[in-house]
Amino acid sequence: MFGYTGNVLYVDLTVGKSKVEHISEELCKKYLGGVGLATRLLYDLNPPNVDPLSPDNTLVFALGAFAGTMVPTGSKHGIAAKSPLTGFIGDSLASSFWSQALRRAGYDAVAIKGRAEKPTYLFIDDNVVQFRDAKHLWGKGCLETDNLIKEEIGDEITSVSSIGPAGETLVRFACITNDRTRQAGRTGLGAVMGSKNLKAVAIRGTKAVQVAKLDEVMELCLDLYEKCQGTATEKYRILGTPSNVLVLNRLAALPTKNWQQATFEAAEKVSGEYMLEHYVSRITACSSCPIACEHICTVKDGPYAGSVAPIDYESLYALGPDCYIDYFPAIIKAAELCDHYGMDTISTGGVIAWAMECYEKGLFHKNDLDGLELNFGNHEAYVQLIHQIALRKGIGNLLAEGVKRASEKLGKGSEQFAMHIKGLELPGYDVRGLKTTALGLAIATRGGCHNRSPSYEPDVKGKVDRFKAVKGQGKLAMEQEDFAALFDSLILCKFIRGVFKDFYAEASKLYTLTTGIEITARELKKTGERICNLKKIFNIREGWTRKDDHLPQRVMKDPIPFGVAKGAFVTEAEFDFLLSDYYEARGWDEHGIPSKQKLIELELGDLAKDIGVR
Amino acid sequence: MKVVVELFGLARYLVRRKEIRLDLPEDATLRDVVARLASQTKELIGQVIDGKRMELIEPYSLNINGQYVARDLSMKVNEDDRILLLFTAVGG
Repeated sequence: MFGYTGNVLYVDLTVGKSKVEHISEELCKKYLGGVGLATRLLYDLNPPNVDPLSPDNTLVFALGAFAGTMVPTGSKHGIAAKSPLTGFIGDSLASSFWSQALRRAGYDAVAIKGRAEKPTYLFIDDNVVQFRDAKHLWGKGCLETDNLIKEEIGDEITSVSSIGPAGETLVRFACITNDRTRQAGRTGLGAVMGSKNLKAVAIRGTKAVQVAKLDEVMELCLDLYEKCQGTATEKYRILGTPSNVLVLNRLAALPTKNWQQATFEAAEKVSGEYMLEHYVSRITACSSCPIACEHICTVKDGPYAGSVAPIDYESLYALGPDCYIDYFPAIIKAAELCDHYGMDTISTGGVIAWAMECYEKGLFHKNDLDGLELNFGNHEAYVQLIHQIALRKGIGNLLAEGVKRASEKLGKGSEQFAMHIKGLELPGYDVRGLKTTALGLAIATRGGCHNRSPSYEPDVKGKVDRFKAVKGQGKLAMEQEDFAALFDSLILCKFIRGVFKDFYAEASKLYTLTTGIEITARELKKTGERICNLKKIFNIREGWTRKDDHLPQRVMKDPIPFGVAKGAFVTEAEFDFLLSDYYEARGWDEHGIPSKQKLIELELGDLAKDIGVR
Repeated sequence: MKVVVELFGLARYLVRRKEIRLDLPEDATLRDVVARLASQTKELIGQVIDGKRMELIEPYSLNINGQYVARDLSMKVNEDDRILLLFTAVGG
């Protein structure tokens, strides 16, 4: 095979054994890699209704076809398991050297089940798989773990994916960190890894990666590299994604103060423009990426002097405006702590914002919070709280459960302002005035997510009236979701999307030349649809019903109080309409269940019986 | 007729201003806005504005008063409009 190796490494931590099995070209073509392949392997390996933190929940890492090749932004991996945060499909992506190392070691995917008796890390050294003692690493942060493993192996080329203390304490939104600064952030896959007593997966890969048509692939790649220096990516290269802050604030779509507002009075102080001028110390890139979007920020003075963290828009929104924090050094400190402990910044910010509102509404008192005065904007308290969440100390133990569970446990009406969808804390788009986006977040299979269902594009680009719910938005949401699934499975970074003139034609050509597996633009498009349907089937098998495609109560009851979207919210009638429009576009019934005909059309007919479709 | 163009992201970074006030004829369209903008802020030419065609380079667009995105540049502008010059590829 070209591009792919055709090998999947299966690891059983309970018995301390591993084996390699081959996967077919047909399977590769059907699911491509990354999230698509990881989801299919997971679907086949997991028994239904498994406890996400039990040994039976398999954790699958899968590469796209381009990992280890020169395809720009192609060196990424997808990870999938049943999410301990949502109870549905948990999938997340990360970039850089780890994916290249796995491919060079000779694998397309690693599927890990079981639970080690004691803290363990895996060392995949080409064909040799070692189960190594990780007792001395337990309790260490992600960066330190990475350094210590490299030192132990004695080879800087080794690439490490690890969890921090938050994964070990089973924080439900713990992430998996690779290559020191890259995170598979969402849906709590770090907790799954922690539940297996698995501290890290280190890889040293030394084999060559073959592509089918080298000259043609190089030609296409050089063209893409050149285009990546053009206007389509300059936002990411120059200011980075934090340039979203002022735009969304101006559109009254910047969730602020736990979504009580959609504009932030101090937006300028947390903007990408301000960040670049005052805090960016260097700009870096993932391996094989010509864009370089990662803006590393450093605090030079004040109480958080010495703090260093990459800052992107979502981290900035969640740890900044959503918590009403306008002191940029505190945001850098908070992100640094999340990276150290291995926690998703979006969920961390989301759960703290909820706790702040609880405190201001008198649902938490100072003595519930170990003396913390958790008012909105109190950065000293919020920094302290991050430590407590990661280590599950005091109130941190409740917050480590995520906002859905925490609000259900606290009650007292706090569920009404618990900002989550399917249990996943929300990204930084106030959807009350972005109605296609509202639908997109509601239907996303992994929970409220802008990455799996980037439906803001039609709203912000003006393809639709963003304040209205009309027929056709369901189809737009579907198209965006299918499109995203392809990026997550091929894999390519979504920041490169603007350089393609005809994505389906160009990507199918690139895939065919890399792998030698013929795929047409039409087949590729269908593959995106297949992967989205597969994820949906996974969820249905886990008990999903239409009511799980929901919006937070605040989005449907509290209008935006001021700004250009003043008065906007999503009514129940609008939401029902949008949801039905989406299901219809998908070829699903009113309950959101795919028809047999649709499943057969997508070559998923064999799964129909699993979800009761006849 | 006076309108204001608000700058964000790269456009603001290049011009080093948050907004630009433009004085336009009564029946001005967005094409006039782009042309006037190009003549007043040369820094935008080639990166944000296509100087030959006097059009915005993809993926830039104009949003009127934060309410809606202009479908094309033939649209007329109104007194005191605030026109947002946006890079419309969001996500992060």
